[in-house]
Amino acid sequence: MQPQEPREVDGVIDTVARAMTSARLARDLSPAIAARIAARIAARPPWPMAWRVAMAGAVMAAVVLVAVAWWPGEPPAKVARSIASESAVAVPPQQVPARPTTSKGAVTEIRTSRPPVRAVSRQTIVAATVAAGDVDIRPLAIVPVEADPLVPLEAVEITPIDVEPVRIAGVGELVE
Amino acid sequence: MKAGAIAPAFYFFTHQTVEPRAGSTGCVTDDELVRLAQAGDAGAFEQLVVRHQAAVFRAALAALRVPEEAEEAAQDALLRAWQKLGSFRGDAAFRTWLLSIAWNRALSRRRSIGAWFSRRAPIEAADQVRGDGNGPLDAVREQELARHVAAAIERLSPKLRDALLLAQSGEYGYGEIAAMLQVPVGTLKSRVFDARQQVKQRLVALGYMSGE
Repeated sequence: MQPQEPREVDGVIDTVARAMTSARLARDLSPAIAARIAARIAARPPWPMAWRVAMAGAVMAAVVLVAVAWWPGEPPAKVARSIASESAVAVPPQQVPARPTTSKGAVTEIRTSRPPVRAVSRQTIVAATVAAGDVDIRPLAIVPVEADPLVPLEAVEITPIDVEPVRIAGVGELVE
Repeated sequence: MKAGAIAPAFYFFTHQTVEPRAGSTGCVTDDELVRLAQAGDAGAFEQLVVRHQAAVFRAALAALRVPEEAEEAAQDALLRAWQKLGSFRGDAAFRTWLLSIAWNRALSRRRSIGAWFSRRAPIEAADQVRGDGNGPLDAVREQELARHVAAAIERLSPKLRDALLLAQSGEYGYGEIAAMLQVPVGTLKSRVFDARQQVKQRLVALGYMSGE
């Protein structure tokens, strides 16, 4: 086989590559395309924008309804009613709404519904006999809160916790 | 494709195989037709189809190399272009935009028919090439060389083969091909060069060229 000149081979590569993409378009595609476009236009509903607007409106209304129904706070009217009834009957602490709210009125409601401050009397513990070797742990004294002149004083008896004497035998001389 | 159906020796094909029809939009630019088509004028888009269908078909043919498949892909691409016309902003030429769509549709089709395509992809194009040698022996030798070249092109990786076929089709500029393949022009040129080198290496192995 006689070797070819590189330039000759380049020419053959060009020609073959061109021939590989040289098939003629057998027919005019424009009538078929036009027919398919016309069919699509005919099939398209004449009210696409109105339909979209209506759908968007319905979706927004649904979202608003769901948001109102599932909103985590109480309706403002209910809060106002509770404020009005606050002056007559004291609301127990358990019934105070604890949910955070951004409404200024609601914040006021929370403040006014705080339970009245109660004075705390000094607690005393009955003297107990301490056996030898027991460690006597005395309870901390609770300083009485300064009385609020606007709020009637109400003594609250707090029963001291019954603490058993503690015996720390294993520590030995480390305990003073 | 029938061997030898198209024909003279080492011919150059005309790029526009389907002549544009004469009409009132004959002097209108692509941009003006695009604006009309975007406003809903189907006739304007039909005129754009007439102008560019051959280029679209050839791009699809470079990817698929089966005329029937390429025609389907071209139709698909043109319809797709109509659907996406609203998103065309004119950053590139309409033809470049259209060719990019056509190329992507053709590649998608090539992927979907991959196994079948690899068996069917014709090397018959080589039969269309006839040498201009003086005697029958020269003609036979040229024919055989062309067959080997076609086979070598078929064996190239898709990246190199696509670049070579699009570049040698004579239909597109490097800028258009680069936009279709979504690579820089420099990368495209490099691929075309590499493709040629690999084809030549195969010819060297077959004894058609010296290895120097």
